Amino acid sequence: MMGRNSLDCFFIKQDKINIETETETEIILSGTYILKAKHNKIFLSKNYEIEITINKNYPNNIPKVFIKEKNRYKDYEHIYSDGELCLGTPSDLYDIALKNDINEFLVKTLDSFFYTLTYYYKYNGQYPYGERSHGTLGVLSYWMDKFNLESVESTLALMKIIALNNYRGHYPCPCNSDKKIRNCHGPLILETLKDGFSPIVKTEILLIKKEMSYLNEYRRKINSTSR
Amino acid sequence: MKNKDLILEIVDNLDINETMYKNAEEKYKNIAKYLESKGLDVEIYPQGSFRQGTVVRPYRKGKDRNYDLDFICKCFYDKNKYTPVEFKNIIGDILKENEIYRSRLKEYDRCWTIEYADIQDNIGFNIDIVPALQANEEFKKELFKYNIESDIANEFIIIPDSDGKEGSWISANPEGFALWFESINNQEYIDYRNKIKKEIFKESRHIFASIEEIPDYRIKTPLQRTIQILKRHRDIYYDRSNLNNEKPISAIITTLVSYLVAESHETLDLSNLLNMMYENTRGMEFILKDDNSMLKSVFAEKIKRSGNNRWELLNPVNPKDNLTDSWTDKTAKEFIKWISELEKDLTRGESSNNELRSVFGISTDNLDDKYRDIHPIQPWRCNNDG
Repeated sequence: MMGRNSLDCFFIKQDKINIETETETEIILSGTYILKAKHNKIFLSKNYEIEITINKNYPNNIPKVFIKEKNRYKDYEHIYSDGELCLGTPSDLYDIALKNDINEFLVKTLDSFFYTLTYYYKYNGQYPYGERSHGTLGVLSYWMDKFNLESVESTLALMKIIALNNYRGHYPCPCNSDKKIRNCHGPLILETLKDGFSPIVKTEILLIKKEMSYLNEYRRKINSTSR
Repeated sequence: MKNKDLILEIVDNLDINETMYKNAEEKYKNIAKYLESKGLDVEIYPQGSFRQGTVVRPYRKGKDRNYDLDFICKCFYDKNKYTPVEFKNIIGDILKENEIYRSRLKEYDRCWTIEYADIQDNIGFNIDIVPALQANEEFKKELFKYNIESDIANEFIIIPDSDGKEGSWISANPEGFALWFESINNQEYIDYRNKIKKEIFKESRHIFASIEEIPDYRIKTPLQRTIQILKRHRDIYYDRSNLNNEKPISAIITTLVSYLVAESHETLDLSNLLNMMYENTRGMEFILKDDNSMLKSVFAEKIKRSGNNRWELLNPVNPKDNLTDSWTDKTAKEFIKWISELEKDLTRGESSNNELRSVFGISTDNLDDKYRDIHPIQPWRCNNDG
C-alpha cells in the first residue's frame, strides 16, 4: 500500500511538486524536481519539470515519470519518445520499491536518474556509474548478478521458474551444478517468490520474447533478401 | 562576480606554495651547480607555468598529481658535434653519476625528469630538465623578418627529441614566450601589483623591511589567476568528459588570455577578463562557420580557420609554431563547449560552495547534507519504445 505520510515527506523535500489530479487508483503529481546530489565527491544540482503517475497499488505497480521538455533531451537514450523516463530495469525498480516507501523510492530513483542525465550533458555523454545494456541484455544482467551466473540459458531457466511460480525443490538446478535446486539456487528463488517478483519477471520474459521475435523476423528478412 | 573570493581561494590552494616554491628553486639551482662542477658550461632556468607564475596542481584520471616543473638546461656547445640523442645523453649520463639523481631519474623523449615524491604533506614535484642549445644566428636572422624583437629572438633554443635512432632537433623559445607574457603582465598590472604589495607590507612589517623586498611572484595578477582558473577547470572538465585528446594545451590558454589583456583599452579585473573570455569564445562559433566577416573580437583576429578543418593560432614569439596544429573543428567545438560550461559553473546563482569546489576537482569533507548521496541505479532502456 502506498503510504500517504510518506508522500507528504516527498512534498516537504520537493516543495515545487504538487498533486495535479487524483482518482480512485492513481495520483498524478506535477512540478519541478530539484536535484541536489553528490556522488564520488562530485556535486550536481539542476531543476527538471516532471509529471509522476503513482498507482495506489504501490509497490506492486511502479510509478511512471515523464519529463516535460522531452525535446531537449532527444539524443538521450534513456528517455522514451513520449517523455517517459527509463528509471531502471523492471526488477531493479521492483527491488527498490520492495525495500522503500514511496518517498524513498521517488527520491532514490529520480536522484539517480537526474544525476546521470545532468552529468551526461555536462561531461560529454559520460555515465557517472555506467548504464545497463539496452533491452534483453540489461534485464538479464540484473538476474545474472543476482544468481551469480554467467550463462544466459541457466539464468533464463531460473527466471522462468520465478515467472511461472513452479518451484520444485527436488528438480536438478538449471545452473548445471548437478545439485538439486533446493541445495543450490533454491533458497534464492524462494525468497524472490516470497517477495512477489513473479509478475515482474513475467513481464521481463515477455520483453525478451518480443525482442527475440523481432530478431528472428529481422534474420528471416535478411535471409530472404540475400537469396 | 559573486563567488570571487572562493574561486581565488581555490586556485590559490592549487598553486605551488611558498615552501615548495623555495624548495624547487633550491633544487634546480643545485642541479645547475652540480652540472657545472662536472665541467659543463650550462645555464638552467625555469620555463612554462613555473616561470610565468601560473602553476596549478596537475590532475589526471580523477586524481591530483605531483607538480610538474619545467626547466631549460641550456648548454653552450656546437650543435654540429652531436646527434640529438648524443647531446641529450651527455646531460643524462652526468645526472646518473650522482646517487641522489640516479635513483629519481626518468627519461622522456624531450627531457630528463627527477622525481621528488614527497616534499610536503604527501605532495611532491617532478623537475623536468630539458637539454637545449642556443639556436644558430641564421635562424634568428630569419625571425627578424617576422618583426620578432631581438631580445626575444636571442632566446631561441633547439631541443633534442630522442624519438628515433638519432633523434631530431626542435626549435623552441620558452624564455621568449615568458618575456612576452611578462611584458603584458607587468605593463597592465603594475598599479595593481603595487597596491597589493602595499597591503601585504602593512600586514607583515615583521617579515619585510621594505615594499621592494616583497617578491613579484607573491602577487598574482588577474591575468595569472584567470589562466590558473582556466587550466584547472580544463583539466577536470576534459578528464571527466573523457576528451583528453581534445584538451587545449596550456600555451593556447596563456596566449589567448594574454591577448585579451594586451588588446584591451582598460585594465581588466578578474571578472572582466573572464567575461571577455566567454564572449570571445562564443564568437568562435562564427569562425567555425567561416562567417567572421562581421565579427570584431580579439580571438577573431588571432585565430584563423582554413577551409579544410585546420586551425591556426601562432605562437606570439615564434611565427613558425602553430599552437593549434593538432586542432580540428571537433577540438574547436569542444573548446567552445568547455568555456560555456566554465561560464555556467562560475556564474550560476544557486550552486553551493561545495558544488563550485567540485567542478575544480576539490574534495570536500562531504558535510553538506543539502546534497543527498546517490544510490546508483544504472539507467536502462527497453528496446521496444512505445
